[in-house]
Amino acid sequence: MSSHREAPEIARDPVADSTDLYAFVSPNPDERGTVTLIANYVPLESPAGGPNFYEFGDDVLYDILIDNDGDGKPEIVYTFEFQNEVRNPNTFLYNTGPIKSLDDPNWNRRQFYKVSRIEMRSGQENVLGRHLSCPPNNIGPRSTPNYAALANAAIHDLPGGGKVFAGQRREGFYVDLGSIFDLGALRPVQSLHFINMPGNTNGVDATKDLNVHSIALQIPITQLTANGSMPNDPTKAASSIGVYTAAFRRKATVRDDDHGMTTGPWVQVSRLGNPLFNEVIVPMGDKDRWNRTQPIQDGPRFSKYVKQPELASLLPVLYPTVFPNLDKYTKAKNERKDLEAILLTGIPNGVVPGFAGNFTGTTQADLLRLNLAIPPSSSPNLLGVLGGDVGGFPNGRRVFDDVVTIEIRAVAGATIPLVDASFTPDGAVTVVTQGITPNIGDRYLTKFPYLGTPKDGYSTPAS
Amino acid sequence: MADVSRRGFLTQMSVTTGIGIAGGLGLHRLLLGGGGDAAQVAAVATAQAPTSPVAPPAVPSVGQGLVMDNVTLGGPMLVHIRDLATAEISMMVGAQELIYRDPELVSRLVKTATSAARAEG
Repeated sequence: MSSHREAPEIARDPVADSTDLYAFVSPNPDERGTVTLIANYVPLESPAGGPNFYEFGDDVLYDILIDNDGDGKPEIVYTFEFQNEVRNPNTFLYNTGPIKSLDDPNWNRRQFYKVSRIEMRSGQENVLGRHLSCPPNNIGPRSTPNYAALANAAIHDLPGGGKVFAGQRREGFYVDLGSIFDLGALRPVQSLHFINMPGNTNGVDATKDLNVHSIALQIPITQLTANGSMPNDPTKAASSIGVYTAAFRRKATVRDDDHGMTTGPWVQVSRLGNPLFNEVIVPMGDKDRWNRTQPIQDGPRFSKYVKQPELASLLPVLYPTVFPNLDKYTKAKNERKDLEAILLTGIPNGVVPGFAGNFTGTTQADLLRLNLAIPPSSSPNLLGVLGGDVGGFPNGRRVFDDVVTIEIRAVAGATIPLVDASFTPDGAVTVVTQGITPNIGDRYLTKFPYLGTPKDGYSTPAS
Repeated sequence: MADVSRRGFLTQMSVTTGIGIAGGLGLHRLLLGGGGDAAQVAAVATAQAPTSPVAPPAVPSVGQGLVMDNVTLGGPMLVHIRDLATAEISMMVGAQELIYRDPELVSRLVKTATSAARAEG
């Protein structure tokens, strides 16, 4: 998955497990001049997962971090701290009647948060909001009869412009988990797999009925650029930013009947920039370490996995005979400069025809890079830049981008000619797909926070 | 530590929080500095050797916090011996961590633990 349960340690700690990160210039005309940043946590929420429904960790610190000068380090950090409030500890119930408002006395276990912006150069921390309400989970028609209204009430304005939302959303990432994790099979081309199965079919969207917890920000662009200006020249490096999210826990935990505690410095336990980086690029033995390190350390520590990704070697084995050119290229130990650009530095101007790029400099760091001077696409293509739509991944990432197919095609060789004109991609590259087309109108919103209304437990019972 | 600290990028923070390793210093001396300011703490953390006899330990009274980096720290404190061989100790309170060496204290703690283990059979 994008980054759901992608490493052994964090798979045991769902509330701190970053699952997806999105960054895009807000397309809604009412939100012009802003960027939407969304960091998702708590993977694979079953909508019926009561009675203790999903929430953010009140012992976890969540950050969305922005590098706006290309040095691979964040200059701006938005940080979130959550707290729970229980009205009546003498009941086992999450709610004792319909929840019709965010202060409804029927809602027993509520969650609030503080959001701050930290200027990393000065260390100055500005609290943007305190005791902001999260919405409840979407439980069902009796408990949360008008969920959309509850969620809308949990969108809070930020001082100086912008909005914030933190709470449950419908999973936006779509992937055929069951097939991909069954020895890398893609149902649309499974007859070509080395353990072939008859009947090529569409993919199965394994996450379409699941939820997630989202931290969403909508920030005026001028508050994110290094000089506070609105970038209008997409060819300038200063027009692009790099974004990642990270979660932190206290260094020490003592479990004790009466005096349990957490203490010490905040230690990073999870991070996420580009989708699938830790999941697919980093090998098992280094995944936990990757989660503990900063993006600035990716060059010396992890770029070797980008230069010669394991998946590029596996594809010709999984699908014999259809990737001969990739096989030859990989066995020759060619370094994947195309993937280094996509994942670690941004793509320079002029490399992709019609795309001014999102190059932030030579510093290698896994950041989701977004060119703020490129306007949102009026006719989005799920394959983003690969599909000729420069408003999508890997120029930032929109909620509906098919990052699985994009990255499989890129690893399979679709982007090698951008840096090595002598390479001809195999014919299979243009047909490799996970075979899922999401119902965009049903699954997503056309305005902040863009991820859709979460599925409710009554209508989507655990199966 | 620098690569996992949330504020690892803020080099100035790593100085003012007093994180560092000081040789030959007693934890009790640091605690006895309690009520002092950041300069006192920094001085203790960076001194190479005591210049005067160590005052007898005193337990802070209830409600009295430890002052580090101009912040009075309340709540529980966790002291962790990171490495018995080097007597490296980590002291955590709030979001602060101080790392230093105290062979004398570590020796006494090891002796106590050994005795306790023997007593338990």
